[in-house]
Amino acid sequence: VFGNKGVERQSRDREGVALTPEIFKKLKEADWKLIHPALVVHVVYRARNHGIRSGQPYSELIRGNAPQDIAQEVIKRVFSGARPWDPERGELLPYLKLQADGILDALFDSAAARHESHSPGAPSGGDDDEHTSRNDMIANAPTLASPPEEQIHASRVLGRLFEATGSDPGAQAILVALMDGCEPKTRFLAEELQVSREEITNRHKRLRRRALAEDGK
Amino acid sequence: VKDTPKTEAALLGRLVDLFDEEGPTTTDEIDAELRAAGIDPVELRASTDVVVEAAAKASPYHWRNRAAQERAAAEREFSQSSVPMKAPRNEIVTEIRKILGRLPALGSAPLAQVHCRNFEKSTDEDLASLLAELRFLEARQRGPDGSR
Repeated sequence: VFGNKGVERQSRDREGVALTPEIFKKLKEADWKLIHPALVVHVVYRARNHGIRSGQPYSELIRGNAPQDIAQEVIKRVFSGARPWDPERGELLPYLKLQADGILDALFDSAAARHESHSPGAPSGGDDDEHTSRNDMIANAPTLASPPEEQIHASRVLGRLFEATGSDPGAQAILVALMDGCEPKTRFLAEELQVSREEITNRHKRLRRRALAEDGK
Repeated sequence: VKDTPKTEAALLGRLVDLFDEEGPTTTDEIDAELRAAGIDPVELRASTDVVVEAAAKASPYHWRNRAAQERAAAEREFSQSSVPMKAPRNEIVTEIRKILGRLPALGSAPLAQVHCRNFEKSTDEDLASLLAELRFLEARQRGPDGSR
């Protein structure tokens, strides 16, 4: 008998997308057995990637939040209407990943701020010979635009990656292409290196494994 | 024009951007990534129903929450819009009978069930309240444009 106007008003977001009974039904019927683990692994994957970038431990980056908690928060938000999904604008999983990215970016920013405020200064860059086999182009790159600690971390990881990929020219070619200014997109790298996108994906997966191994993440 | 990274940090950032572009796709890759973060993939999948059900139950569109909200909204609307009629008792009873004649289903409303059996035993105030409720329910059934 009674309408849902009040409920819909509560669910309306800034862009005018609202949770409706139809969308709620679609959410309930979504294949969560696939979506939920995929969302959690997205959070894990991005947090570990950011660990490679920043040098901060994965657990520190998400500040005690389990990846499952972040995924759960995202799911709660779409069901509550705080972040309503519009099926006409795209599929559910990419939308949930986008929402998770928003939370992660805020956590990463917060972690960076904490890290800076607690940092006693630039840490040791490690052994001198870490840099010996690094590509000259990297060694000669100016280093003025980033904080010293970030530079030292990047220098160490890249140096080790170049060493480690000495026996994997395919993976090293990606590093060189990125250094040459190629966009960090699979399709551009495939064009640049004249190989298939699948090959680029396989190569960057090898690079990532090495980067994680080098940094112990 | 190619935009070459100016620092090693920028280059590493681009490499991570590339990693971010495409995550693990196969079950093996997904499980390996989860395990590396200390998450048991089997336990995670087992928790899915609980997580989703909890989110759905907290939603304003879950049937329980919806019913409560609708009830509260109706009560608010009724209290704001319905003023008991101040009229002679026989006019109130006539009006009640007219509404029940137009919409017999309203006779099942709780107040109507109590009072319609024997109007003589109901007080003037009870009858006025019943009329107000029946008018409210009739208006709701008609809809905002007056149609049924």
